[in-house]
Amino acid sequence: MIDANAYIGEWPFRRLNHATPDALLRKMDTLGIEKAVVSRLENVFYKDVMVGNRELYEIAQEHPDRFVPAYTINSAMPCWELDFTRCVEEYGMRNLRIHPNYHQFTLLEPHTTRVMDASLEAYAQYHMLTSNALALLECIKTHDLVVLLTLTLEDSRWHHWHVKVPPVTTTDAVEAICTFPDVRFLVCTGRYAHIADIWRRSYKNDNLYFDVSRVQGPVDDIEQLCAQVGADHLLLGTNCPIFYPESAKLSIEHAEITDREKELMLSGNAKRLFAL
Amino acid sequence: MIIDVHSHVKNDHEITVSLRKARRLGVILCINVLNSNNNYPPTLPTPEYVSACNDLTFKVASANPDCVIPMWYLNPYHPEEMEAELLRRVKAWDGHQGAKLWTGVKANDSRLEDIYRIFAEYKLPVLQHTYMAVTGNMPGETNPFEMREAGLRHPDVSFFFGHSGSDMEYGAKAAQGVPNLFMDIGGGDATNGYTETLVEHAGADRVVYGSDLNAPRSFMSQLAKVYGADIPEEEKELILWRNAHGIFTRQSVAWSQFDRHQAAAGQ
Repeated sequence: MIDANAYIGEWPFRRLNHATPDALLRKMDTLGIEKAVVSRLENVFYKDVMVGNRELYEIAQEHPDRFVPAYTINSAMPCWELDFTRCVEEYGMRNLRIHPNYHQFTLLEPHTTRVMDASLEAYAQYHMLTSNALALLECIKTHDLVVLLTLTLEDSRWHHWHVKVPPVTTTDAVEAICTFPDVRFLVCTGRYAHIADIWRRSYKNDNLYFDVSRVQGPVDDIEQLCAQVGADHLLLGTNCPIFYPESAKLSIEHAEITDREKELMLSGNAKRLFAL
Repeated sequence: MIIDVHSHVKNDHEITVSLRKARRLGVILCINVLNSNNNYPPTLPTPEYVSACNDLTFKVASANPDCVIPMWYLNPYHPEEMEAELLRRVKAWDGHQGAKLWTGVKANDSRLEDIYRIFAEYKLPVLQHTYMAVTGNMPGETNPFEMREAGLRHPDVSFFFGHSGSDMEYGAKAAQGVPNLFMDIGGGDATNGYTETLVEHAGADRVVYGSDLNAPRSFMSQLAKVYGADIPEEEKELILWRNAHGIFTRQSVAWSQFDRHQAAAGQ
């Protein structure tokens, strides 16, 4: 099995199980997960994400067979392009994670609403992405990276009193995906309804993938997503250590789908997407 | 055996799939229907609406005596009608049963006094929805502070503390020292550490498995809170069924869903 969406690190609001590399590896061993695509969790809050990226690089160097790094870039910070270049040139970045909500760059221009529901080609001409989102996605496209677009990390109703962060909207995600149809997106932590919505409004883009870490209902959620989206676009992702990793794993294993569909979700799609 | 103290259905598809999966997993569902119209349930339903919900609960429970414990839904904003509704349902059902309170009034509201007396008399556990949203609760939604007050005022009633307050730290703290509050783990994301926090503050003998099935949760996302928790196997067994079983078997019943479940499993 391959976990397409995990983190290593601490969270400011409570002590987490499996926060360290060793603890995460033990948990992966227990669950039969051979590899995990990981980002540095502290980078959700660090203004200088290169601190976390450097640590992530060192961790990944120590465990090259187990951890696949996804470096974090915040395009709302000055000279983020230098961070990007350094991750590519020094760390060999192939996967990149963005947190548009925590990092205060919305993908959409403020006060814009979608005025058309036209063809995929129309998005390229009339996109509504902010200039820094546009520039970042252009860089991602140029370097042919996989981008992990994280909608949220935990339920915003339980956020800290002074750190209330709404999730990235499905419209934000759709805008980015449709403007850059050649970029491979892994949308992380979408609920069942979010995934169905993004998939439908993104013209069923072949380069679009979803992790199922936050697909936690209704009773036949995985079965319905396989029917609507297709098992070849759904990946095991755990959002560990924020979530119990058993949730996504057991949801796939106990779903009433074919063994082939389970294999795709548990490892096949991740091998293809991340070239593992 | 697993006892799910918190599950919902609202249409034929959910009933069919939920029961099929429950039987496969060995789960007894404590079902309450908040809505049989497929829309979002009204927060302040009329007595007629509540009765229609309970009609569906009765239908599902009657057809699946090996797998379903009915939890009669009440909106005590209409106290006299709800008292009559509860007595009518309880007297017509001779297996294990319980009750469900959502957002009609808060758990510590005086309009519930007579209804709590019925709960105590018939030893009906009550699943009380609770929530603590930093973005704001719904009108009539019970928060963990109010749940604690209700538990202290009614020590002869066993409460399933719905969602454990949702924000588990609030729920776990609020339940300390109130032995008739049982923490329902159902609903909400499979947040790592959720169950360990409840066990630490309330004790493993006061945590029960619930899923909040179809509202909109799944079995596995919520079972993961038990299977993934860093607690001993004996404590997982308490949470998965022993604690809830102990509460329901205080009732005098003509027949037991647990017996039917075991008989069906042995076939």
